[in-house]
Amino acid sequence: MGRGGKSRRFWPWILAAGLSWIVGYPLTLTLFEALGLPGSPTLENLRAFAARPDEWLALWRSLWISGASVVLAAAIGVPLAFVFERLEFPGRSILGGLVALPVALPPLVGVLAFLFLYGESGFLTRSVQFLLGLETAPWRLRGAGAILLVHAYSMYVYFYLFTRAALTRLDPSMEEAAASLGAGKTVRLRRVILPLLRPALAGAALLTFMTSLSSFSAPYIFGGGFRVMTTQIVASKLNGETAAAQVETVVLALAAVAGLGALLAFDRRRVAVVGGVRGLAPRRRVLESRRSKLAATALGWALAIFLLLPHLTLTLVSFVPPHTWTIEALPPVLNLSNFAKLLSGGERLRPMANSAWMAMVATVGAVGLGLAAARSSIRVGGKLGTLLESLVALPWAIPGTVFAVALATAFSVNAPFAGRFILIGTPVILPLAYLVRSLPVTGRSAFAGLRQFDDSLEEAAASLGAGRWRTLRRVVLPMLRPALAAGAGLAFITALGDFVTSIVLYTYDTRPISIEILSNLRLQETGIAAAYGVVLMIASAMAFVVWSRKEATS
Amino acid sequence: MPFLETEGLGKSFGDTVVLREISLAVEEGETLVLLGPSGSGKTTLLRLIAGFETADRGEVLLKGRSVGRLAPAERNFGMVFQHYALFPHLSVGENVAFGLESRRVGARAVRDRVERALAQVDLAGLADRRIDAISGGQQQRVALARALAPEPEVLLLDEPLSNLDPELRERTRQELASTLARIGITTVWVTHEQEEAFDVGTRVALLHQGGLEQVGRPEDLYRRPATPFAAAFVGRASVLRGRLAGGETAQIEVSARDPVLLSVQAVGPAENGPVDVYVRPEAWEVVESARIGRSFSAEVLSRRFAGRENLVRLQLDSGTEVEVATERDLAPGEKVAIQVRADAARPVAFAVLRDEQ
Repeated sequence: MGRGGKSRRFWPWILAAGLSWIVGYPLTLTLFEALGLPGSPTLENLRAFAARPDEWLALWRSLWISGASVVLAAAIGVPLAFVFERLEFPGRSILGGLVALPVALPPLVGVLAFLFLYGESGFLTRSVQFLLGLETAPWRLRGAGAILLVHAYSMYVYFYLFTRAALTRLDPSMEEAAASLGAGKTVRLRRVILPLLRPALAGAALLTFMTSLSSFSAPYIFGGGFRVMTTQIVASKLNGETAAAQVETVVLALAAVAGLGALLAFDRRRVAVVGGVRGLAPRRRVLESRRSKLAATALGWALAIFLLLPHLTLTLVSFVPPHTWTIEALPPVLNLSNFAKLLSGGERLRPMANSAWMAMVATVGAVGLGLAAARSSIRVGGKLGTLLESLVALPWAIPGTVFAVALATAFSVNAPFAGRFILIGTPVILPLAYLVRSLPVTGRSAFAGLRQFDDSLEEAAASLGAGRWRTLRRVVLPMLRPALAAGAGLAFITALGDFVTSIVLYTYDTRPISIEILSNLRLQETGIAAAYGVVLMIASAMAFVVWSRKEATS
Repeated sequence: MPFLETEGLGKSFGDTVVLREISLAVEEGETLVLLGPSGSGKTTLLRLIAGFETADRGEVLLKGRSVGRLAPAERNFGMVFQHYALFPHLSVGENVAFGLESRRVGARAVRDRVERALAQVDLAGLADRRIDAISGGQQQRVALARALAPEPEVLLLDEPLSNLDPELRERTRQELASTLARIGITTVWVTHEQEEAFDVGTRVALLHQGGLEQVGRPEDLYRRPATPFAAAFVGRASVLRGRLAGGETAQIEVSARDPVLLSVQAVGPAENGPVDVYVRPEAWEVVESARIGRSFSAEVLSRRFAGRENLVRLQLDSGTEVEVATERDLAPGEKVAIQVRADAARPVAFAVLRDEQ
């Protein structure tokens, strides 16, 4: 619409300034301070970084762990997608949903569950030890292997979901055409199907690489001496080596941006799930012989149990009262005492209340900002529009640890004229961090919703006498609700289980559930830690279900 | 004083001029059709009137008062959109009520008026239906009911029938036109279909490349085109190349020696010189015997049955193809003589000066 007052023309600029202040400014400040700016420019911090072999080692480990995670996740996720998309066997649709389960588990809770399952005194470890009659645990869940195990378990889902989506949209007539031209099975796979899946695979690879580059929970809990960049940064930060932490942060941010650029250049096409022809759903091959049916079903359920085992173990441990499970293979006592303690009020309830309100505030803020940015960006277009879109998307490429350090840098100084206030140590900083981290998710869903939105609906409302706010409230928002709800759900779950930014920015009064889990773990209160984990798991699942149902009904 | 006026309305998008100085007047209760090919600026003109675009120059006046500074929501103009723009999350009744809620009408009055608006378009009793649970034709009528419910001063229709199946389109056109006539609302109706324009328009404004070619009753546009574009665009016509010789007579070269003379109406400047002569299909008659200087000999190419008569394509000896409406059943390959009827009261052949470099 061409009409509008002054406020409307300035609004996108105000928005861009506001977003720059919370997204771009902290990162820029961190870079500047690492270089000694604005006072005395120096390369001393960088030189100190370059001179320390442990820093280079951490960077190298971050990169190779991420690369290996991509390979492992693809090796599990892609074949699974083919199995569930191309074969028909009993239980296929239920199992197909279960396979996506690990994605809904907050990272720290996943790590916790792995610890209780495969850790030195884990459920499975003990069972094996007991069965074989061993003196010590048969394995140790430590170092690179442990990190890769967790990554493979939680990140194959990206490959699985992307590949399945792409396979569904693949026009079956293309494969038939190849077959009619004499191409055999392997040729079809290599020359037709895989090239068509390439955008989806590239998208999943990018997501996996970026996620594991910024992964913190697994290296923190299992890494021990095996430091990657994220744990290195937090260690420096907690040791009070601010300058070192800043340089490490800058290096990790550059690595993330370089990784993003390299992967995008590798696949020039826009990273997206393949958009082929919307044709018929591909026919699934029905397994007919009784033996293969049985085998598929058995394998399927074995897989499901393997995938559910962490969740089940976590739940089991949450019912074990403190100090009752020592050397037995199975816990001798099970009751609700851990949950009773959680609900006993006071300080035990505090982390849950904190996580709930902070995640809620962050989600509402991120949805509002994302929607405002998307609307302004689409309206004004041009360079300003692109700027708004980039600002909203930027935190996606930047690891959470980097943002945490950047926010800590920007908001630990009181300089109102430079736009810096002391927010560190206040209840504002964590919701702000969660909000910034959620912006890409809520922003992307708002952009997607608005791009599909038919402008003439807004014009119709205007021609019927509805003003700007009424049009927004009665027409735009109700129609965007499914898209916004999906984004909000994901944002809320992420914020609720956040560990990576919280560990840098929390105070005792604002500690979220994840921090409480960690401190209980340190106090050997495994039952309590597991109980908090179960609460987080259930809350995430509920948020997921509520939002996806809302999405289905509207 | 006209009810609705545009005064020198102009609009450019970047360097592209999409509308130049359009001045139009719509009388109270009439339906003015904006007709033109795509890209002629008709939709832009409608959107300027509605207020969805801001004019670079000129004014929109309602009963003599400028509404150019009012937002669309403040103009009290009803609009029916090309794809209806019904709100999919609201029911039929809620869609119709939408414009009433903005006007602070009581809940009971809203219900009554929704019922009345739906009855007006023959949809009584469908208020609780979902938008996606009714047919395309019904959606079109809901869009009309929604636009009419707040009792707007002017109704704007943007290609209101283009989204319907061809069979449904003609019937809906009749119903829509009679509803508008019954209510007596002042209407601006955009279409690119000539038949639709002639059927529903009290008057038709013909637009071409952002400019106004001609405004008038449908029969004026058909019989007295004011511009070469109007002659070519309105109605079917075959084009013959010839020379204008003395005001109302055109010579068409058939052979070197014997030109055929036609009586024509000059469109634009009546200068002697090369012209294109536009001849309507019904202006031709098939004659028994050829007459030198009067008739053309031609061969039948194809015949299309069109109910009351046949539309026959013929090729003249010069190679030019013409279309002739005749009751005779001519067979392809048949050789006939055809000539143009002379009828001063209803001109059917127009000469347009040809630019020859």
